[in-house]
Amino acid sequence: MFRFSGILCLAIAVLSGGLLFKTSQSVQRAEQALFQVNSKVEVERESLRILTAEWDYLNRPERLEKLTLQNLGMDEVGTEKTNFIEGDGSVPEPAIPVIPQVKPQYISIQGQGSLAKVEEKTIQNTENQNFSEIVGGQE
Amino acid sequence: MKPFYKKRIFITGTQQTNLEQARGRLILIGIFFMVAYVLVVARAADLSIIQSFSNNINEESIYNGSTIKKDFKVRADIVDRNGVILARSLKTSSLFADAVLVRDPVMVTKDLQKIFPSLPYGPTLQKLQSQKRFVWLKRNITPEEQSKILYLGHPGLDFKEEMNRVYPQGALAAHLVGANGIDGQGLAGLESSFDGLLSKSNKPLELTLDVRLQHVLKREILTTINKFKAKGGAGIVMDVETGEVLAAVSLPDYDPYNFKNVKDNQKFNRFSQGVYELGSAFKVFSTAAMLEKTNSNMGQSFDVREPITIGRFKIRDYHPEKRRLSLPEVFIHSSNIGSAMMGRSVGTDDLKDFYEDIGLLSAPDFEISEVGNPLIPNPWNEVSTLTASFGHGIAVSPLQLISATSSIVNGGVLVKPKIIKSLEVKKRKEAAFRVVSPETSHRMRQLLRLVVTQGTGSKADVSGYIVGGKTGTAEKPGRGGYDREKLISSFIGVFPMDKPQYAVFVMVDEPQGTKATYGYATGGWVGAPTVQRIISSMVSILNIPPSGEKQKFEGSLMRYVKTKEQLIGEQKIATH
Repeated sequence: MFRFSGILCLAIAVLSGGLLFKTSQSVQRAEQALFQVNSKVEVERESLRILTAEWDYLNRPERLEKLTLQNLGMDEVGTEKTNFIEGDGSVPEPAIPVIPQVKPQYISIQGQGSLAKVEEKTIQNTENQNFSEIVGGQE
Repeated sequence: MKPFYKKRIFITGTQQTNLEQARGRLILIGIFFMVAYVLVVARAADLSIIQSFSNNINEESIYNGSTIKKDFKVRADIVDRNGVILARSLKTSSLFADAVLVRDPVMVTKDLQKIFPSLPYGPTLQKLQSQKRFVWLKRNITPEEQSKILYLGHPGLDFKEEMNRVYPQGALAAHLVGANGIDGQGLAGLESSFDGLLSKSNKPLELTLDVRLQHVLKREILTTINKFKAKGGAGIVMDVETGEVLAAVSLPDYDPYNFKNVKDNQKFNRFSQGVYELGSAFKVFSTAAMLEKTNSNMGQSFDVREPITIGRFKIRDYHPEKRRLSLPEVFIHSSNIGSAMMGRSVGTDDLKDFYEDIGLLSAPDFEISEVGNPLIPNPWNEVSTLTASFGHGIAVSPLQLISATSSIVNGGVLVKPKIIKSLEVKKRKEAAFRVVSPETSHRMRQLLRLVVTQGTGSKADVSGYIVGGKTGTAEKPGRGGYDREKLISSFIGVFPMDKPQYAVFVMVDEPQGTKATYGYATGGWVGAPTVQRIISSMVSILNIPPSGEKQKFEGSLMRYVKTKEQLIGEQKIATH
């Protein structure tokens, strides 16, 4: 009753069914992985957008000017100081390095074994403005 | 007995076909249910075993997945010429309530007030008791505030993600960048004039602005305003070759986050919307017109000893020289009488045409919507020609003035102000429209330099750099004429004069003279030192090396100018 060809057909049908199932599963898994990667990329991108905006916020010329003057004692280079071409044409002696008014503090961070520089306290004190304050705060 | 032994019964006759048909149907139904059962089992196994296994690997994806919204448009950034962000939209959460689900409105209101002290008690309670399914409580809250609210655990409070416009530079370029409404629509400046593009495009809008120069310009004008107790001020830095605006400031300015509470005085854009009688700075244009349209030379002299009377008007000098002045002397001592004479020799039609050509008689084509129309004498008669020669009776915006000056000093090619960085800049020269000849342009540069070395603009000199410029002091029109106490003091500076690159204009509204300036509040005392400080800072920011001045740039023009020493010497001879 069962001819060989019939059995073969059935076997092929079952096999291809199984193969199709396996393929569909792997496609689903790959899609899921892709979705995860994409969503992670999106999350990263969003945080990058926030971080670059924050970077530009912290690098406002006004703030940098205030901090360099306050913590490093560095003022703008006036034209009188740079104008050596009209003199004897010689390059001036290198200036004595400016010693910061506030000594940078170094503390060791556990587990890392190396010295990590910690933000100067004065910077933290003068910068009470939090970036998150400017992001939110509108009604 | 064999268990699977089937006894075969054969029915013959008419019953046979019916029976076979019934059996066939039974088998078919049996197969159908078997297949269906297998499918159900397979799907159940798939969902419960296989799928759950693969999902277990990354459960967080369900949470993170919510961030992908492809059809979600983010408003484009606005950046300066170096890519520094001036405006960007960031995702923030907003708090809303489903008032039906709120169990204890009084407690929720009190708890929310602990997190947001500014939240009004009455209206919030009213919203929570309103039984509405959606009421906004607070827009754009910080992640920290959000976590505090989540920690409270009140049912009925929920968050909606919204895009919020952030201005990292704050008020620095407020009048150019503008501001946005709470629902993301542009309200002022570029946010308003490029509203459509910003909301559609993904590319950032690149400006010609440089935030470093913008900061310097604002800092120095603010210093001057405070020093002279002025009402306000404005300033522009322009690239004279391309017309690119590198910095533009109008003070007082405003906080873009608080646009709805900004006063009109702060909103008003003084550098492109405001039009002012800018006084002597106009002598740059009347002198250029004279050199261009008439056969005049530098040795030509003007009798400025007596005021000019025309009709009921009398034209006087601010610093009367009481002698015949040469053309360069009229310019450097800023003689109104001399300039009026120049205007007269150019003629009404030619002067008007010239002013039209350099863009003083029509509103400039600028990319923001806040652009003012100049006020031109109507009808334009002979008196108008004389007064317009020294900047009275004609009001233009600082943007027009700096563009016109740039067009004259850059070799004589018209420049149009622009704030959007474009790639077409290099092609400009080919399609150029010439307003004055290179010779006139050179002479004008020499004259401008002479103002700084010998004339009213001496306080604008920067050591090591060839700075030129022209002072401007104008009385503000008040009731029944001009008010002598209310001045608009300005200075237009250009450098380096041998090959001009930058023009700097500063204008201060109603400065009050101080002890240090002997009570003066003129362009030479107010505007010139401000421009001097701006240029000093600019050269270190833009890395411009000092060129020094191997031979005097104003050179041959010195022959026509009598210095103070020479005049004292002449007086001595005369008295002997």
